[in-house]
Amino acid sequence: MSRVRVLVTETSITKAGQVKHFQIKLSKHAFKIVGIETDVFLKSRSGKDGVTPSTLAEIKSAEMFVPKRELRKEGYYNVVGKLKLQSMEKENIFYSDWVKASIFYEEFKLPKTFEIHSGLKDIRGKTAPKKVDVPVESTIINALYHDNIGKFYKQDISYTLKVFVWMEVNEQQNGVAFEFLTNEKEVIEK
Amino acid sequence: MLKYYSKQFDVQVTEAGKTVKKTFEVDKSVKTIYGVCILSNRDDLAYYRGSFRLEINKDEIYADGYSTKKIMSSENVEPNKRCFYIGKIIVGNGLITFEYTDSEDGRTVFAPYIVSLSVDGERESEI
Repeated sequence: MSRVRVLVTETSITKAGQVKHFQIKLSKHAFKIVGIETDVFLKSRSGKDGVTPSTLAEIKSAEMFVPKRELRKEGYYNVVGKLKLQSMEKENIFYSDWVKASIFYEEFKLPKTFEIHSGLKDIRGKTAPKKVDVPVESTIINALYHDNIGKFYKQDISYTLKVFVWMEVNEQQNGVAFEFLTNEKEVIEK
Repeated sequence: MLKYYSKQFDVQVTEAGKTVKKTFEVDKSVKTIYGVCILSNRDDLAYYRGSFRLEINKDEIYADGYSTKKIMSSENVEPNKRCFYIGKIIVGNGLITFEYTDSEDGRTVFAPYIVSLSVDGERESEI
């Protein structure tokens, strides 16, 4: 079984509707990209880094960024932007997907006497990277990101976009065989 | 005979925006590790604010900056499948290095919390 590694690339988005080109540098041992994952760390709504904690209610602040119910019906509730990736060895793009801000479907509740569930019960299951199969020779892939959430709310929202690239490497003993590589059925279900 | 092994290793996050690094040593009878997941006494903080780096036997399993939320399972997942399978890793020197980074996220307000790294594996047993 092949062994893989994960590589983390971060970039900052500060403007509404910002289009950002950046490059993801792969390990020199990488020979194939097998999975892509994304994540978003929201910083502030104003475009400035950080939020003054005292100005925010502890839990309700999540709704400021990602209203969950009303907009969800329109399929727009937590879409932050769109990411496209292009390999130097393949024509066209090999990955194009909406980046979503992961949220709990229900608000967090402080545990009360008869309310033992809170938080994570509302996430449907485990996450898994999106599978791709892209052989690479060079150590660079091009990325194009288009902000969407800022445009939707008509204001600058500052956040860090993280791209996790799972790649097969030709190092002998290192790396890991992750479950998304082996358990096809589970990945499809998600 | 190899038997199932599971243990949690805790790190205390006491300051916002800081990295906490801890190295744990597993018991000598533990031979392999094949699953990991992250738990916390404040799911929301670990979920929104956390990223980490994990090294087992000096082999980097998750690179620095990997989001905690990616290896957290909800209560809707079958209990036996909550850990994330990482293939069998030989424990070797028995050292697990866990580096947890808390970073600001506008959706939460910091309060001290505990993050636990749960590992599943196999240990040798004479019985």
